[in-house]
Amino acid sequence: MLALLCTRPALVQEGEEASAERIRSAIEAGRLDEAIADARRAAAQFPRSSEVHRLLGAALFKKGLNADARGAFRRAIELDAGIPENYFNLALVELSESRYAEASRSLEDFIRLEPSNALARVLLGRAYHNQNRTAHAIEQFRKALKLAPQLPLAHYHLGFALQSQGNLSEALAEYEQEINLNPGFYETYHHAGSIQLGRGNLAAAEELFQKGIALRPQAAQAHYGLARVLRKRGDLAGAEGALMRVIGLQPAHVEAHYALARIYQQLGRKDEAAREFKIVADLHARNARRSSGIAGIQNP
Amino acid sequence: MKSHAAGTVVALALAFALAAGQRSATGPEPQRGSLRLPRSVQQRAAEQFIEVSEQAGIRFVLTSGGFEKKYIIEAKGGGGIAWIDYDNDDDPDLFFVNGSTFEDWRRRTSPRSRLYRNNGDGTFADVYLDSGLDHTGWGMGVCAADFDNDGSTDLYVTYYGGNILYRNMGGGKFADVTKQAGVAGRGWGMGCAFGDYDNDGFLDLYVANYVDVDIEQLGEPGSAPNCTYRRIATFCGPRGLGGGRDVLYHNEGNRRFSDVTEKAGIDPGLYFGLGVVMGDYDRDGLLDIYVANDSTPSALYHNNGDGTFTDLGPQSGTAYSSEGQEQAGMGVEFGDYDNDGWLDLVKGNFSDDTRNLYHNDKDGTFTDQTYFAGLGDVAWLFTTFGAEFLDYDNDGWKDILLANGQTFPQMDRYPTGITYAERNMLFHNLRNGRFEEVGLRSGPGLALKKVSRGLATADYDNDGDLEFAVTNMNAAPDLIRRVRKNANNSILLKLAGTRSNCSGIGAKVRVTGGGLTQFDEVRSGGSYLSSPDSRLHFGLGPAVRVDRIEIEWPGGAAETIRDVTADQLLVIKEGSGVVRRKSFR
Repeated sequence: MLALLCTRPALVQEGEEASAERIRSAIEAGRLDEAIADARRAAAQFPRSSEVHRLLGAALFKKGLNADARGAFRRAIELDAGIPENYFNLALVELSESRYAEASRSLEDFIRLEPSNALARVLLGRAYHNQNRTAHAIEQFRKALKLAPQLPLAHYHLGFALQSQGNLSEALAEYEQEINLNPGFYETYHHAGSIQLGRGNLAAAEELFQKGIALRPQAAQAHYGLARVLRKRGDLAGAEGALMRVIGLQPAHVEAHYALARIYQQLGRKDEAAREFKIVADLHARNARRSSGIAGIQNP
Repeated sequence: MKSHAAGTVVALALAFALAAGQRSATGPEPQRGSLRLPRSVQQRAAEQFIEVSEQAGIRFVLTSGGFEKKYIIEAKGGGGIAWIDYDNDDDPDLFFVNGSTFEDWRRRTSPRSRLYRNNGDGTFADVYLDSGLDHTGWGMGVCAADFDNDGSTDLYVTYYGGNILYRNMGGGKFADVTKQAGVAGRGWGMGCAFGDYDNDGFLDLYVANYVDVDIEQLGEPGSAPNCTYRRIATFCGPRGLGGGRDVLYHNEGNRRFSDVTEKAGIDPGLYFGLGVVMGDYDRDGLLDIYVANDSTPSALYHNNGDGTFTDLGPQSGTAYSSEGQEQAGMGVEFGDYDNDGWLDLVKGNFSDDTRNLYHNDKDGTFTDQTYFAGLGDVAWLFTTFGAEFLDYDNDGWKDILLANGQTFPQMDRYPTGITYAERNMLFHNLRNGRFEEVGLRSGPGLALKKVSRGLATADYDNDGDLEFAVTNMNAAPDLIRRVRKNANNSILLKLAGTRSNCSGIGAKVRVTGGGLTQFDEVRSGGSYLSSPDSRLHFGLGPAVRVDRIEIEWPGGAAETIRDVTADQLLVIKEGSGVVRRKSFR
């Protein structure tokens, strides 16, 4: 992947090459203002240079100037439509702004030129999934894994897409593969834990949530998952403790307040239960004012 | 050097891949086709359901707006069904509520609802022309009961813009008595249910109201944040619209009702009411009310016994999902699925969510057993409107039937797994608190993919097993019956109160036979905007006799009928025991 992006386009002029090297150095050193200024000058000097516009785009993107970066990458493509990385970089700009349809188009162009690029297929899959094209997303993730079975996050994203379609068995298998390949990635533990919990596999769920907590102690969802396991086991005191940690991390965590209310109810602590139910109602009312559309989208 | 700059971009790519994953809110669900069946269920696979509406003579088409569903009333509204034995011949007749289109509604030329008389031979005759059921409008739901205790079942039909009470005058004639009775309601009526909440012998009426909106002022799809689903432009609402306040009417006993909503403490939160069902969940002898609310907490109104109610939804565990999330509640039904003598609840919700199966814990609280019971994953992408308990195979254990159909036709443009038309689902009770979805193995009648709304069960051919009617958006309804049956027996009970309300609504019945005791209550309303056959059906398995039938009438009287032969309809009159019997056909 790195090699691909570093491939130098042919037929670069001598002066242009020197400018490009300066700009690359500045980007690498984090001197983005300098890189941008240099790149703008180079672009004026070499207006037909796709490479200079690509570097300008990269510097602008790193600086967070997405609109200008988008323009630079598009200009680079206009100047040389055969350079794959310009499409890729443009896609990154679009993804950073959740412009998934535009990102898809750029990635499709990229893949036409570089069909064996697994990472691009993962990105394209994510763009598809975010456009409700779940079946197409799954196809891209599977192709990516065929090309690069060890690619980080590919199993995770495939699992996530499968899970959204309700195919929990295959989703769990993908999550397990991701954990084997990429044990330091927190999200996989959370999703796999939720599936195991839904299936009543409390020991497996607890192990996954505990590993999630170890990786990211500040992740409220991991503590919440653990609380659900403990509550299901009947360990109400343990669940209460875990829920208090959730609320400490995320005071507006409505599920945690609700679970706490039900636990207090079970323990006969009526006043505390009533207080928590009230918080739940208030949070829902607040969220309703903010929310869009019909209720129902949630993680189980 | 160059490689480093580009490498940064690659690292960013991985971050984006992850971020994109975190943004997409999706969740678990079905494993279609991967179920391993217990032997008992494999054996039952021979049982089949078929769709017979056309051969039965039903020509109704539910009109509900245009096919694009640009406005909420076109998608959510309508589809009520009532099984009502209006002519007292023991053959349940069928009433379909019709909706409208904007054009017809403006011109006051909305299509009529339809009443079909059961001919007793498996066919129905359209009798609406001379029935007096003349009101047209944008119809929604229906509930049936004898509100004036004259021995004939009446109809209450909800509409956008004013509801109608039809008094059954006998001879196949109905009269619109809405004005005199004072039950026109307000706003946008949806589900309704009759029940005698104060046990005075007269049926009171609960009407769920949805949103308080002028349908001419609805926003265009995608025009506001509350007009999208999964980032797809859809009709607006219900969020972002004002809620309509539900109404509780007290029956004064003189064919007049009084609006006691405020005094009774009903719906102060103005939730988006849809399905309504009444039942005595805490067995204190007083009917309580459950309302499935859309996108707001559902309500369980506990009857305080003094004319007031307290919403114990959150405290009882029935207001939210098991995780405390608001859901898009639609159809709802009470039923005792585990034969422990206490009413449980099933509720339909939107896609990207579970249904609810709330198990009654006998202490005033419920536990959401949806996942444990096997209803959690399999229906995740489905949108459930109609929901009913029914013992379809007469084994003595109540199964669950769900009528499904999305509200957004736009979903068909995206390969998400969610489709506009959906098949309905049948969950077979495995007798251990768990269910198995057997719809796909249960014949062509359950393989149909339509956009279903209302659902109501009845043994319309009096043969001892339950059929069901389903309404479908902008299409003909389905009348589904079972063929290739097993040899199990059953019994049907029709109750008639004397001191209690004439429909027997609220009567508690325990049937013991074959070593099993089952429990149910007579009710009107439930499911999605519908009203099932008010006769109680109990499967008996191989048992050929019922040891005893115990009845607690809402007026307080109790009676027991012993040693009854299976496979017959019994008409039981309060204080007189069995007054009529009919063997099954």
